[in-house]
Amino acid sequence: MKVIQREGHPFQWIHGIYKDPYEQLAYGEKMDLGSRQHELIDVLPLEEPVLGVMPYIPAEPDA
Amino acid sequence: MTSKVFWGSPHQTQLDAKQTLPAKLDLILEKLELRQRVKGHRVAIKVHLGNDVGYSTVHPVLVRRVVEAVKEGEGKPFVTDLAHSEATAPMRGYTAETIGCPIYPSTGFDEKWFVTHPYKYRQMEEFQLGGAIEEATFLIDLSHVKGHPSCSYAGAIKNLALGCVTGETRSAMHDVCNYEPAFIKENCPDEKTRVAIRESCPYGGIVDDKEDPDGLHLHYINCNQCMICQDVAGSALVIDRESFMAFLKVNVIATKLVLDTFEPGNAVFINVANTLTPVCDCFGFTGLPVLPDAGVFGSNDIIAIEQATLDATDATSIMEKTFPAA
Repeated sequence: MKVIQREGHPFQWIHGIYKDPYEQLAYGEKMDLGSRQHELIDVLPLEEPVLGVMPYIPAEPDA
Repeated sequence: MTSKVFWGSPHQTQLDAKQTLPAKLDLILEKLELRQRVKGHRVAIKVHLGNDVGYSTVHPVLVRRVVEAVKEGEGKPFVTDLAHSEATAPMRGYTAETIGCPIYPSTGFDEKWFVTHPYKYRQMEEFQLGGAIEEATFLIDLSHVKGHPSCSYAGAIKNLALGCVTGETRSAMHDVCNYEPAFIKENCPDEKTRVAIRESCPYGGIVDDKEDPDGLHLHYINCNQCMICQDVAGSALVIDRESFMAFLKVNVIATKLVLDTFEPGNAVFINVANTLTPVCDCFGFTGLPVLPDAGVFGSNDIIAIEQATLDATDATSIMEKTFPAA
């Protein structure tokens, strides 16, 4: 397996430019399956990393 | 129309379970208001349960989160997949005990439980949809995202299209690529050239035609359009874009037929984009991923969730060092 060309989605780079998932979605949109237009909503936006103490994991759960 | 796609990042900034995928999946299920929608419904959770020793399918921990949410909403969940994957599912950790609900083969134990839907596309006249899907009243399409040699990318559409139909229909769907012959015998001057065309493909994509000793057959699954064959074949072998796209389009058609069996609003879609292997879970093994994890996505719109997943994975870098040798 190797990169054949670098166009389209990275999976197309290895499986072929003629296997186009974006065109598939355009076809799905024409079939009234849904809309490519979307709003991506992060359900838990990352906070700034917090330096902290590694949590203590007891060897015995009830200890 | 703009659809909402809820997303949980694969990253965490603290060593805290609340920042990991199961917790983010819970948040997505809340955003989708799944519990409020499933009361009294027979809920099919379509999961590819994999084959053989593959372990990159949707993890039982994640499946269980979905099952529990359905139960809390007083729905009646079951997980479903193809008969051969269902039969061996315990080998990969999927049992009623681990995931919390029964597992049924989508088309029955012997593929005799289906409903025929007439639909003409290329040489296909009909699609046989599984009885488990037909009898469900709510659908959760819970997909593992990965690469696929026939369609490059596989997620929510592929999970429904190939996983809810009989073997006969699945086979016919793969054959739509061959509707127009790739090998044009009249344009091949002699046997020596025919053999040279066959041998030119480094990926074993061109083979003798089983039904015609003077012919050649193109395996579209193997062909990555490197076009090496074209130097030898000239006009005797046609590498036609539309023949490749036919498989992706027939997947859309089958998906539409599946979704049309549900009342509007009675389907949700979840894409788990981790362990992004180059080939699908049907292969029965798990190699190294070739793209970084992209998290978990949820939506009421199958096109929107696929677009969001493609966009997220498109923005990452392919890891060529992890490619399998073949």
